[in-house]
Amino acid sequence: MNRTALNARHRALGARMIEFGGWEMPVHYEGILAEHAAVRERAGLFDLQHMGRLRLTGPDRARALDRFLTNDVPGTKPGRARYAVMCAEDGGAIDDCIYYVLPEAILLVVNASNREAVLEWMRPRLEGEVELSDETTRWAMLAVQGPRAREVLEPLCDRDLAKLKYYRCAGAMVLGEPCFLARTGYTGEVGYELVFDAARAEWLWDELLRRGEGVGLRPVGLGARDTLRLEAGMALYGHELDRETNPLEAGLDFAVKLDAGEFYGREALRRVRAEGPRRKLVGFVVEGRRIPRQGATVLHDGEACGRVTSGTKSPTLGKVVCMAYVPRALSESAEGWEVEVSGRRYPMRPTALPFYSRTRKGTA
Amino acid sequence: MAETRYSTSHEWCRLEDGIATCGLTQHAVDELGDLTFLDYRVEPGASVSKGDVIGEIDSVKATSEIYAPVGGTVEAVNERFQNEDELAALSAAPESDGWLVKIKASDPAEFSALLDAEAYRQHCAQG
Repeated sequence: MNRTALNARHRALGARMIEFGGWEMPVHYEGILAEHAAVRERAGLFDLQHMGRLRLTGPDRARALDRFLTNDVPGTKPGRARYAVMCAEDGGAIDDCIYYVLPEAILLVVNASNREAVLEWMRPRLEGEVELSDETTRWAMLAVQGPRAREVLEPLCDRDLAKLKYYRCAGAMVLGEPCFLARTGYTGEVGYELVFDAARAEWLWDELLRRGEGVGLRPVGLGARDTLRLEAGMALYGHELDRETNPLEAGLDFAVKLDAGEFYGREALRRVRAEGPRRKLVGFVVEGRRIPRQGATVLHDGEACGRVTSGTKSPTLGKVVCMAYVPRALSESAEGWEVEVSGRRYPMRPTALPFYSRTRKGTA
Repeated sequence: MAETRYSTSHEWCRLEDGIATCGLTQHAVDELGDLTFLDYRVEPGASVSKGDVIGEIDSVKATSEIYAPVGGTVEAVNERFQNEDELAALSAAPESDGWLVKIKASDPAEFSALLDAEAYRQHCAQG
């Protein structure tokens, strides 16, 4: 099992460790609910070294990467980041990712569990003058997320963070350490992600926690990362996305540019767009306190018609919520929904995703 | 106090006067994290076999089944843990103040076959 550069730090903080995507990771320190609240109300610090960090260099890097991603890589200016899906020829998702366009390279951040599959898919298909290197172990990655994230980072950083808009990225010095800094995240809050030399990970982790203490910065594990992203209606590969699921049924149209460059899966996705997706991802609020988990059966007017992809009790809303795939023909129906948990049925009602939005509080 | 024994599925069990008092171990509730809901699958009077599902417990992180550590007739289920404050109390002291089900044991040998404290500690250490 892989270990991040911060493994000893997590243990010293009393984290409960689990295996995730081939990595030993903290699932929680003080508890998922406390960590979730820290990110929604103050700020949280995440170790993200398990995420795959792939670097593309060479003059043809943008065009080469564009062949693999649903978004428009050559149309993405330096200093910007974009979400994209990597599809196979049939439109099924191999992974979802964020790419960051720097002046001299492109950084592609992929899911831990898919890093090998992504490399295997890309390496034999790379075209032109481009090099692909896996920097996952050499570079650490941290996220600082929450309404006070900027207060934590700004005093340590040589950049005016107010000017770093959503999905922008830049080189920066953080406490004198050269970092790559981006305003991206997976929590639904304002936040930043930092990539830097893994040999400096313990030092920077300690400094951030120490200097962030005053604003309530706390270490946050994968448990709260999951409840935060679920409230924010964000897809998690292996749940809302997989090899059998295309990005249009997952509602990721914003990241699918069918009229930009050619990419693997484009023809299949054109057909899906023309015919309409077979099924749609829908958010539901469930009555009662039982949590439907991945795979739970969704019923409409008593007939089984879909499956839950993720469910939790939303810590922010205090309600049980889930996302599920249902047939497109039923996806607009407001009534008649139930979910089955342990042989019992619980009524639920559809709600617009995301369940939680920081600019639109108290939704769902 | 009667001896406490343990199942490999992380229930504790104490046998007194033929009544097995059962609950979840500290290890089990620590693994689950923040508890949200406890649901029984049996009522008093129900007959259960060792290993039957007698309830389910939800946490923010996962759902876990609760198994009968011994077979017999259900004498009582503890209805105390109906809200999150009570579930927090269960998390804090599941072995001293958190019995869930009492079972009139049909075969004392099933109790003797459960793990003792040291064997259970080793079981947990192996993950």
